[in-house]
Amino acid sequence: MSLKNPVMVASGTYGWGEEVAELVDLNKLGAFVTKSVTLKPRLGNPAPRLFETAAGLLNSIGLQNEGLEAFRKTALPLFHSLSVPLIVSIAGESVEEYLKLAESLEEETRIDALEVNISCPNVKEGMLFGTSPKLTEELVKKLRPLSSKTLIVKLTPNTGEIKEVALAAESQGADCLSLVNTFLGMAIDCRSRRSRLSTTFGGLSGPAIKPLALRYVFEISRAVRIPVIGMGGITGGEDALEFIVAGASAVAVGSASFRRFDAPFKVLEELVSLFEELKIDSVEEVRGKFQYE
Amino acid sequence: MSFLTMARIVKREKICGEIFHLVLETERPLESLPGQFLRLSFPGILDPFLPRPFLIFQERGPIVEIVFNVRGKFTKMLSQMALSESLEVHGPLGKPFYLPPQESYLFVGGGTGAAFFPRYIQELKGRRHLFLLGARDSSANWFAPFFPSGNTLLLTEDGSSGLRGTILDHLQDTVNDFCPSLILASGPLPLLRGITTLLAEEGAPVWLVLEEIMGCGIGVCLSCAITLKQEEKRRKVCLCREGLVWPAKEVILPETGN
Repeated sequence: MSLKNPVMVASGTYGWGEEVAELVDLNKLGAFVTKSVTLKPRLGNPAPRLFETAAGLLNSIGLQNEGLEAFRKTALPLFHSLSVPLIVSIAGESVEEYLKLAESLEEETRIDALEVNISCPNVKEGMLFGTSPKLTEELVKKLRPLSSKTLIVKLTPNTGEIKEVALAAESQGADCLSLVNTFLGMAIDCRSRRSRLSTTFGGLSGPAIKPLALRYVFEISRAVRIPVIGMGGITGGEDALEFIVAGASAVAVGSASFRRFDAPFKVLEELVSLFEELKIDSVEEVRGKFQYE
Repeated sequence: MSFLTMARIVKREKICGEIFHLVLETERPLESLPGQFLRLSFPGILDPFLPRPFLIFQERGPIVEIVFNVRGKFTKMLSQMALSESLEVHGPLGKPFYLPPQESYLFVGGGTGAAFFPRYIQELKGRRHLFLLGARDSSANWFAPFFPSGNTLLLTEDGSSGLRGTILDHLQDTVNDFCPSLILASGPLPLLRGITTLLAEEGAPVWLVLEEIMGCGIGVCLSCAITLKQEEKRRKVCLCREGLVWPAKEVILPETGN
């Protein structure tokens, strides 16, 4: 799959497209990544689901979505009138669920790629696959033959074995890696001694995690041969270029879209100006060209 | 459809205690409808990161007014901004709310929640109505001139103006005396919970202006999702997209939050 430009949206921050289609020109994105689709509808976690922390936010939405059938019936038709490359994020609670999702979406020719979410911290067992190289290997091994689409695996930083998980995904035929999903964190109301969220933990995103995400993109992109999509706290063109220099072939804008719905477009605009200013002709020219001392 | 624009602060007024009134001039008029809201953020500042939602107290041309309580870092910063400083504005947001046709209305406003009502005053002509506005302190007094004097009952917890006591102390008597055919309440969640419980057996429908923590304002982050009783097992609705005002009998109020 090829992109017109390297700026896409991060899963879960632009919904299934309907809400944003009226506000922005989705065709100008490098790619659209959907909020994760699950086999059955999910109501998600109780409120409060979001709490802002220093330069970031903790969320515990719990993969609320209307499920695969609703996605095919109500969300996909929108994309038939659009030309933007479409990446569908899928999330399962078991290997079988991932396989059913991939099988069912295989016949949808409008979909260019699947992003396998093995890294959601807010659902029981959501991160199970992503924290284990062995489980990731088994999952990708079974998924790969079922899908002719580009297969992207989204990694969680909440494991000591992220490099092993990345290598496991690559070894079984993943075409690309997305990193990172949110960092597991917590926020406590010191007066009531309770969590600020309805759950004990939530996923941290936003500018607060950028240095951490950058380090993972740097390390993992050097460990694998497949392309890496970098994300984590990108709010401007310079952030995007930092991820590219670290080793990312493309970047995704996430939480910044909650601040301004046009954030991905601003990032792209600023990145283009930055390329002009620094006389850079292509992403490949600078990708991974971090200068060691 | 919502859009982003810049605004300049043309007036900042401390009402009392931690309550402030802010008047903004937007580059592009919001042209919001009653019941809609806006979000504000500090340009170029990453902490606080997310914009905060505010009820639109008044709007005329490019002039938009809000009333807010200082609760955390964001509202503290907002209360300290100087004249002519700029803010980013996102709006108009949410579904407009139109008063269901009824013979008479009781509007209950707790604290800055009273800011929801002035935009409905025009359309109340000829229909029986009463505003019951309660506050901890004299901020209730500040709101008074914006409401029709003969149809407004002020309460303060400290007795500094109007009747002494809380909205919940006086609500049942007010409902008994006034016999409204619809009650619309706006204010902090504990108050809305109290009203819902107190008026559970009341014949007149009770509607609530709800608040929840919001991330995006457009229905994609799913933070402000609330549960409807009829659809508890089926779906949740985002306040930011589907509107702030719901019948008390239809919603399950969050257990936590303020």
